[in-house]
Amino acid sequence: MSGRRSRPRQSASYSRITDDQINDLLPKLQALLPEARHQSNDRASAAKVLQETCSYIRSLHREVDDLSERLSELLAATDTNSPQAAVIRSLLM
Amino acid sequence: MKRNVSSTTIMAFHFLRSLLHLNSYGGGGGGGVSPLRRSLRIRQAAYTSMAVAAGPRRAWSTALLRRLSPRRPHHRRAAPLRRNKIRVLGEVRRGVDDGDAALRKVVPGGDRLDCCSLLEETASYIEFLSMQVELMQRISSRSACIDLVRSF
Repeated sequence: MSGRRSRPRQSASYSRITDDQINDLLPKLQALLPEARHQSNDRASAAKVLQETCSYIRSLHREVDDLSERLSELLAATDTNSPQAAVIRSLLM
Repeated sequence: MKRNVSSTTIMAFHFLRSLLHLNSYGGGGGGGVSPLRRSLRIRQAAYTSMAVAAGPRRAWSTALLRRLSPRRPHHRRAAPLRRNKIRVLGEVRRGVDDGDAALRKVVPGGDRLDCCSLLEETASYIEFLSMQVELMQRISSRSACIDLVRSF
């Protein structure tokens, strides 16, 4: 056996099992991505799905950051003694 | 992957409560706390609400809570042991570029998972992330606040 590990040789039986599972899970993952991304892709390559998933997650992170800033400004502007805040507070605490 | 109504409710409850706490004890109308700090706290509240709503069965939620609330008592589950066994093989597999390295960085707790679990965790993470984003969008539109109150 050569010192270099090649993928089919080293983990052939292992990868045969999990490759099927992965191939089942990838379309489900793809279905979660924004609609525009998978119009014509019935069987997009695994690498592409993973890549788009990563960028989608990153864009969601950015949205959370932006919305946090926006909410921060809104909170600062909101009067803490306003009737709405009082109602919400009494319901949540 | 079903989306329960209760997960959304738990998330909303937790997040709204955190927002009110921030407002009351965090310096009121902007006097004490810097805007940057407040938005960081809101961001932290967002990820915490997500993780709480998802529950402890998810690797990503556990990893998030461990990161965000280190004082919480954290119990080791039996499940990670099984994954560790696969992880040893996974590391052999990972010696070749599976392309999921970027995904592992982006999903909390992703570096400890085997490929299959990673994909499942990713799907769950995306689901809850988008729920959280939707929740925050609704709250940030002012009219939604008033509707919220009316709908109670």
